[in-house]
Amino acid sequence: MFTVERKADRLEFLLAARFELVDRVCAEVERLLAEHGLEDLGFVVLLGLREALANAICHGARLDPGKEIGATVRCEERALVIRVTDPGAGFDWKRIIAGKLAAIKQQPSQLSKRGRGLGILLHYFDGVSFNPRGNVVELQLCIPAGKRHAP
Amino acid sequence: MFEHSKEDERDLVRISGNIVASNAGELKAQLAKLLRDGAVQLRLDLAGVPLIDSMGLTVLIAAHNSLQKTGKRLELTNVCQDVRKLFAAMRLDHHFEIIG
Repeated sequence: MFTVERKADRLEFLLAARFELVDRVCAEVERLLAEHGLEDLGFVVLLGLREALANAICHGARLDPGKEIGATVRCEERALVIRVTDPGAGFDWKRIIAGKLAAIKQQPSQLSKRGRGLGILLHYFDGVSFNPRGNVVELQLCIPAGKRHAP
Repeated sequence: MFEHSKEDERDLVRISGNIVASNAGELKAQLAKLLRDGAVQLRLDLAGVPLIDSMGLTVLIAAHNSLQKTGKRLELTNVCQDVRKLFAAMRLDHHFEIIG
């Protein structure tokens, strides 16, 4: 299951919780960035999008391909905004943010194999926010003045 | 995505494409097989790798941890600037041996 709705300033996706569909989302988003002259942001945008979608698939959908993930990538005048919604119960992000932000920013034990996804988001994005339930994440990346052009 | 060759005692693996959630499991299995088969010096050529996500990092860390048991480190070569910065941000650059 994979659908994409293309609008001038945004892409809206609905996809089954499967990692290979993340690659399709990223291919579409690369085209959107190119249309807006934002190719230079590609690494950060695609990395953040992949992390948010992987979290949604792993934790929100619990790797169940029968569940659906929503994603929107929107080019605003001064920011690029990624929003990912998963079908899960959410998580206590207030506790995570309040209690572990410093630890996440310092990174987990350097040889630990897990726990870097949220740290990557916090490192690269200007804004990382959740809805109260914790099953919707929004990432904001500032666009340098004069960088974006209309498609 | 995965091309293996042998140079003296060193196993060289050329990887092409992103190392991300959709293919990290496959790469992990291939590297694990090399290590099981006795590789003690492993060099990954990342010239064809523009992006690595956290699951890709997990694969590299797993290979590094296995090598470390024999006193070796994972060698990475031809790392692009974006990925190099990611390693630094995640403080992995002090653990991997990044060449060139």
